[in-house]
Amino acid sequence: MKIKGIEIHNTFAEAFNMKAARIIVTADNNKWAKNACMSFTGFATSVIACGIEAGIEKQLNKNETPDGRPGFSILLFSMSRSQLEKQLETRVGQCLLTCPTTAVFSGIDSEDKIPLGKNLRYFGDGYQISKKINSKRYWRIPVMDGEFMCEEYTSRISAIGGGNFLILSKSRKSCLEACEIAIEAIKNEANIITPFPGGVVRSGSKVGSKYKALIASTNDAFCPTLKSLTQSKLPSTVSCVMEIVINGISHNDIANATKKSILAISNSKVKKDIVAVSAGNYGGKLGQHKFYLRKILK
Amino acid sequence: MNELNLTPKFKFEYKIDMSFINDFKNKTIKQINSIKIYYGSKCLRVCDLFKIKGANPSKIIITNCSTMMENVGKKLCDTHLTVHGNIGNSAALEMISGTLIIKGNVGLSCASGMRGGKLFIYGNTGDKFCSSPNTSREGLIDGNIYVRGSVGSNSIQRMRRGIIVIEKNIGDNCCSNLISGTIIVKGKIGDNFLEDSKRGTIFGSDKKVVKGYRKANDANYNFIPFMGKLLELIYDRKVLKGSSFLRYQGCLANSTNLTEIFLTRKN
Repeated sequence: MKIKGIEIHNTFAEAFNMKAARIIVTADNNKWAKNACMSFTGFATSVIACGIEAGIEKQLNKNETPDGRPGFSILLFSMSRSQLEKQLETRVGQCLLTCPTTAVFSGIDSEDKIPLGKNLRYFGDGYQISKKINSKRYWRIPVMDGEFMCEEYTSRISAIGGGNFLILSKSRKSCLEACEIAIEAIKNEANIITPFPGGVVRSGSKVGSKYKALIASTNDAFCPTLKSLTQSKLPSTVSCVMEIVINGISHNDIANATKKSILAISNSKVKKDIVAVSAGNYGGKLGQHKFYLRKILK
Repeated sequence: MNELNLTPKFKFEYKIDMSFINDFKNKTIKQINSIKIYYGSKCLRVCDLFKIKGANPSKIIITNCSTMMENVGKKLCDTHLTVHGNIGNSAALEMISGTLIIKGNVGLSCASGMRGGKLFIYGNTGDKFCSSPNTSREGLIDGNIYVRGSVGSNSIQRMRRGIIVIEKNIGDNCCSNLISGTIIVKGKIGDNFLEDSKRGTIFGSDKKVVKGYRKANDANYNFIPFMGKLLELIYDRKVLKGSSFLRYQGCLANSTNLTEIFLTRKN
């Protein structure tokens, strides 16, 4: 199968069941809302070592936020409830509470509640004030610039993490350019995030290693420098591979984002340097979800 | 389904305990008609006292009301009740959920021990509004209340939670032992306001409200416009106009009083 000259490998991306939460961060202006969000989503690329995977879902304008100020929605993904709770609380405390003018609200509703400002309120040292409006409780914590306002709970829902595709290119420059086009195409897409730096991964991994202590190691089959040493999956013309990882609330969200990204590359000038699009998987034995590239792009 | 309409068949001379409305749930019109209630010394059926039309017992309208009707909306749960005319004492007593709209004045002890739901009063209320009922120490446990007129004396005792909006005046000895919650009073305030209060938030425009309180600061309070937005959704009208308020707090000598008062800033 080829799309505008780009070969689509007959393979699938393997993804995992995860738990997700959405929060809305607002501030007096976009600059400070973004500062807070960048800090919050820092070091949240992979659950392997960061605890959670988090990213800015989209920018919200004044009439889309609960308090009528500019803001961003953030999605957080984790393998376990306890890790999600812990990371959320820590990051809100260290990155949002500390950032001038911010406030934080829940961006999703379900039966399964997890604390957002519930424990953080004790920072108020007894001067915190709660307001319960429409069965939701909000905490007002006095801070040096006025008050930090946060909702008591957010919700946890089922989600999918690890949807991906690989861009196989003739050069590093064109590969990166294609990645940027793909990320730009899904920048403000609802219900998905691309948790890695700029949305792109260069260090795709395989399960296991020759070193016993490691659970994952470099995906040698897709490393262009190892073409002659390993059972490479790369055509001879490929000299750079980059991966885009997409986490989403549902299967459809990830499939649509994957399709949109690949089509954006195929419609760009850089397509002449793109040899193929592939996907990362572990033989289908680990993940509960499979995203077949050809099926998605049909 | 049509809402259920209740109209008195005659002018009542004796008081009627209207809490029987709670028994309407999941009942047919025939069953509702046969519910027995006391009128004076007689035990009568609902159909002997009221003309009933419609079929939906979760949406009820009572027309031609009188002050002889007491306990309207007592322990009301998941029902939308609209009342046309003035009603007697103890309306919305220990109300649990749902909506009660009163298009008239109400008597004493309205919304005592209310636990939840929405109460709209498009008239005045008598004394002891949101006062502690016999069964509880707290006057208002939760819920949203809107009063278009004025509120009588000795009202809002030991309020635990909830939001009260009063468009006009409030009488003497009100808001005593306030524990928490939000009260918005747009008119004048009587004597001994906020006696022994502990926490809670008051929005007022009468300078008397801040008597004994110290001006806190001019800091930005993000929550005011936010709360204004949410209250507009609850009450379907702007109840917190503008964001220009001066904040007052209890003085250091009485550190147990953490009540905050927002006084509308006059331009």
